[in-house]
Amino acid sequence: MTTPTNVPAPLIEVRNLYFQYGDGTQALEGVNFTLYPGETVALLGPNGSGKTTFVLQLNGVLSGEGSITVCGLPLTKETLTRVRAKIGMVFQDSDEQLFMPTVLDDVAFGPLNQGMGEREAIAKAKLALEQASLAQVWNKAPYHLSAGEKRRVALAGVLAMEPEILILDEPTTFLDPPAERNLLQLLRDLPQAKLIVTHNVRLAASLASRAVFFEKGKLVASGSVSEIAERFHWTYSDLAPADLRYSAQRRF
Amino acid sequence: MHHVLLERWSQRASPLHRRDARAKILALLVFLVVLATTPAGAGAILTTYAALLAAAILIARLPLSGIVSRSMVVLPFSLTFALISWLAGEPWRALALVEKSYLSTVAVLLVAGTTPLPLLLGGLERLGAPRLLVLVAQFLYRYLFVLSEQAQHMRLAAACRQGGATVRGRNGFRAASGALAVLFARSHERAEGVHRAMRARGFSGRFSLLHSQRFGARDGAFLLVVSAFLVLVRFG
Amino acid sequence: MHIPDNFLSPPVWATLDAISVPAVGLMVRQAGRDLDDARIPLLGVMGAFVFAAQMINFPVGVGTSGHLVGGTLLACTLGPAPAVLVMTVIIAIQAFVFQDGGVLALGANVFNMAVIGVLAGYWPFHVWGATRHRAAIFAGAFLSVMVSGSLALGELRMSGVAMPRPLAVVSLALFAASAAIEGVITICVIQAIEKLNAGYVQKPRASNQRTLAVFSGAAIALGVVGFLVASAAPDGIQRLGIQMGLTAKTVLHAPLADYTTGSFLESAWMRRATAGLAGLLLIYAVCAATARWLVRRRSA
Repeated sequence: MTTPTNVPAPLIEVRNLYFQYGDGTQALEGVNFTLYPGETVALLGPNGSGKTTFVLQLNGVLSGEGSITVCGLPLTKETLTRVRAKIGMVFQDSDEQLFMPTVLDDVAFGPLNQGMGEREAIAKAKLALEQASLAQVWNKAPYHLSAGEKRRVALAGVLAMEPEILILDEPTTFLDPPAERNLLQLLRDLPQAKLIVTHNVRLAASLASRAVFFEKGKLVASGSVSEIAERFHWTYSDLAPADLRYSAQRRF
Repeated sequence: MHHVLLERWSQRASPLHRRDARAKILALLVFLVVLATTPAGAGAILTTYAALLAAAILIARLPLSGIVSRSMVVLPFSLTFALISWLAGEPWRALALVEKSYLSTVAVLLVAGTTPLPLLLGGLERLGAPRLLVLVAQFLYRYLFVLSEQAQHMRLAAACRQGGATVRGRNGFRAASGALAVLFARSHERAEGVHRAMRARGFSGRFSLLHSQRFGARDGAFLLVVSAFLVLVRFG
Repeated sequence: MHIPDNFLSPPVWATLDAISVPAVGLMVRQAGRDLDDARIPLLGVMGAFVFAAQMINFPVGVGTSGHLVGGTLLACTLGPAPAVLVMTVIIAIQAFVFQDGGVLALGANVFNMAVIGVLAGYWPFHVWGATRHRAAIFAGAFLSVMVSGSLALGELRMSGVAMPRPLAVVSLALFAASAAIEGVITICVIQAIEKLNAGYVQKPRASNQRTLAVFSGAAIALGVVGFLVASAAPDGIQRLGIQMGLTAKTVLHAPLADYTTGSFLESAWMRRATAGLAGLLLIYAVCAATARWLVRRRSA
């Protein structure tokens, strides 16, 4: 890979990240990672390989050893609030993320915490909901939304804070095909750099310019989605398309 | 489930729905206090109050039959004690017990059915309830249905494994305890997840709520008129 | 037992409303000190857990099943002050959303079940939890249900609700049965929780819980006294009131029919009720003052 001479400054730079759980298991070992502006990177890897643990380090929810720099700010206790304003994270469990009584309350939560006045926060929230094509559910309780709607409300809640980086943890779980398509469309139109933890190789292939592979807490490979998928057999079926044509006639 | 029905009622539109939560809560308190101090045997007063409630239900565009039937939850308790009172030679008191406890329940249901819970909680906070209490109530209500559903699923899953019948005795007990412990642990983890999500969006310990309701002239008028009516009927 | 509106007499529910406000306020402040800022989601979700938990059936006999009430479980896992807070919220939601318990009677229900019930449930665990773990939990859960139920009965009786001896006895017996069930369920569930993660359960004998230990002891004392006061004949309450010099001079044995006629402010039941409540209030104040004095002595 040739490095261009005028590389833009990285949005996220992780050097030598180590993290241990309370019971002593090594969750992350010597992880090095860089995210450039405008990129969408897919994080692939087996369950328990440290993908979610890794992204939780980036906004300081978990803190390990090593250096993490976000938009030029080194991640420390003092810079935590500013870093969190730069990173918008959509968690895997939408019910945990939508904790306010109504959609509008929830999407306005972030802006209010950023110190905005009530009117401004509501305006930002409504704008974000429009972006996610969900303006009509502003007064609904999160419980009454479908999985896809909840996911998009969570995204709106994060977009309302105008982050520079979006991190999504398994965004397509529980989504039916139309909902997945909607989410894909929405994500494709967003200009922010994105980090997507996913098992959905289809999604990764259509959104991500690059993928990295985690294995047992180590970041072991980086490349295009198809390279990674092929190298690690990271598809749902290891039958090539040609084989699939004849599988129905096989007797087991 | 009842609270789902109540939620649906509270999302409708009517003059009563539009009143500020504080006005409704205060009017409710006036009603309950005046009702509580109404002596037994004052049939005319109680009938007037019942008529007032019926009118309010109609104005609020809530189903009369729904409210009437839901308010009957208090009857088992009041009828039991009423029977005892009757047998102890206090028929007036017995009747008063049933009538008044029923009317109180209708009044509370009316307020709950015209005020979405977040607004009700907001009203209580503006009236002086401790913020931590109100916030905990808000979060409890948010996750009430989620966790109840989880519990239902566990019951169903257990029933499937037991061939549909409930296991008796010690095994059933142990299974139920295990289920509760798992629900407890999952709830704890969920709470931690919520906190993570809160912190990720900048939560630093202080909650800034949206104050979407304003106590206007109409609300003041409503409160005044209702209170005056109730007091006049009671003492007039 | 959730008391609906219009069962308790005005002096009873008004006094209990007045007592509950500072009691809960104190616990809210203590809970704010005990827990970090993750407390809002934790307490909210745990409250929802109690609701959900009440749907799980525990077989207790032929065709019957009991379910968890939860006050002691909360106290032993979250700590007593947070548990009081959560139970208060639960009772308030039960009143407004489920019409289970009255609104004016909130003070009484909160006092019985969320304050006294929880503290009485925690006290044995605090004192003996380290040495006699299971017995302490059972005793706490049992006391919690028993004390709340007795207080409710006492308050009803004090309000002049007709309660012939057989009804009182049967009610108390039913409370005792529910209390025993609560005891067993709470032990089983706490043990199951400990197997999953021992960190979820409180370690008793923490030094910063001393205030609460004393308050809890006071709560039980109050509950017991309240029970005795309530089960005594109305005359006994009145005599108590006279002896405390708290009733007006013109104390008369007017029949209960007074309630139906004349101004309620002057009827005998009002005086009786006031006397009884004043007595309870005095006992509570003495206990609270003693507790505070003891704590100050120890920390000095």
